[in-house]
Amino acid sequence: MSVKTEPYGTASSNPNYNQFLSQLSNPNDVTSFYGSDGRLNNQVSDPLDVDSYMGDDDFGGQRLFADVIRRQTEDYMKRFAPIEGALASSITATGTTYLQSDLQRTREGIGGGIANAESQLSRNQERYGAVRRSSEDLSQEKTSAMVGGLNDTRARDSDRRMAVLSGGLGALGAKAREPIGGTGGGVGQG
Amino acid sequence: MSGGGDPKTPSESAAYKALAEQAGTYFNRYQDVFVPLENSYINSVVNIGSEDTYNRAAGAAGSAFTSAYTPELLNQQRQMLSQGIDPSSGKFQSASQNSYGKFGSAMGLGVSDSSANNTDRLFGGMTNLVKMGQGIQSEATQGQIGLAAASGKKARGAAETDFIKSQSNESVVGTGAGIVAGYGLNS
Repeated sequence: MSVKTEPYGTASSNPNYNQFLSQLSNPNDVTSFYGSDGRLNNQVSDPLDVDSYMGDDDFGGQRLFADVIRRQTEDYMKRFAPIEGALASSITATGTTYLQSDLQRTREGIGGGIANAESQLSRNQERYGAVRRSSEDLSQEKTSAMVGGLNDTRARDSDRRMAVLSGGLGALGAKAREPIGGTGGGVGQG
Repeated sequence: MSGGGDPKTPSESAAYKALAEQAGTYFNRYQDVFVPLENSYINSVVNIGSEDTYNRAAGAAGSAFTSAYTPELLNQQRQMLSQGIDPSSGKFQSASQNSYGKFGSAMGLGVSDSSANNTDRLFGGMTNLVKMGQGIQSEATQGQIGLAAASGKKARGAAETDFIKSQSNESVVGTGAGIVAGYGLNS
């Protein structure tokens, strides 16, 4: 499975996004992006020194809150924003960028199924000593299945597009429009 | 952060500081414990889109349809032979071609359906990742076992329907009533 995407918005300028897309095109290597131990390779694992904020100086709590929010946002931008970009840029005017590869698999699947049946039918006829006539191939069945299968694949791809557009991209837009002031529930809190 | 300069007025309450400390502690714990797990899940989702996964899904679907149809195809031919129908006859060949055509079509559509299901899984997984990143509750992703079970169910249903149709259309020669009934396709 390869992801064919056009740069979406400003995400293309994000090196993590580009790296993610290239890795997604070769999923076996995706660990080089997220790390074999689950750590993002270029992610600085630097815990917040909570105690250092808790001294007698003023507003240590507020500074700590602010730093937590900053770190959450950085984490979200590094690990999740590229996925949002990939999902968003998979949307086309009528479906998704996965349509062509799905159609190809449908053609191969139906072609393979019919070829398998033809081969079994042929072996069977030989077993009974019957001569198979050339008019008795399964091309009609193949055409019929192919038309139905390709139509179904297109319809499913269109459904996927609708599913993404109607909520698959989450609620970041709604969150962005929320009035500032609430605490918790921010992005990146898993 | 000027703090106002009045030493008698606390700039932050102890409760506020405690909340901030809790947030910082939770964040560190999240980084230590949950981030690696989330990244592992991200890896798993992305791997749904690998050719290997598609091939496995297609292979499982193909096997399910072969298992469901082969006994019925063989049984149909035995029935015709037992009725003395010559395998070289048009009747025998036409019935065989009809049944194998249904088998090939069902298998091809089943395999392509399993591929589309796998793409659905990939999209479902990516949607979950987006929701995970935004802190929204995610939904369960259908596993490969579920996918294989779905293919098996479809294959059995298709085989049953095709052979019942064949009988009602009398394209299976002779009195084949009950051919399907005895083969336990309804699991």
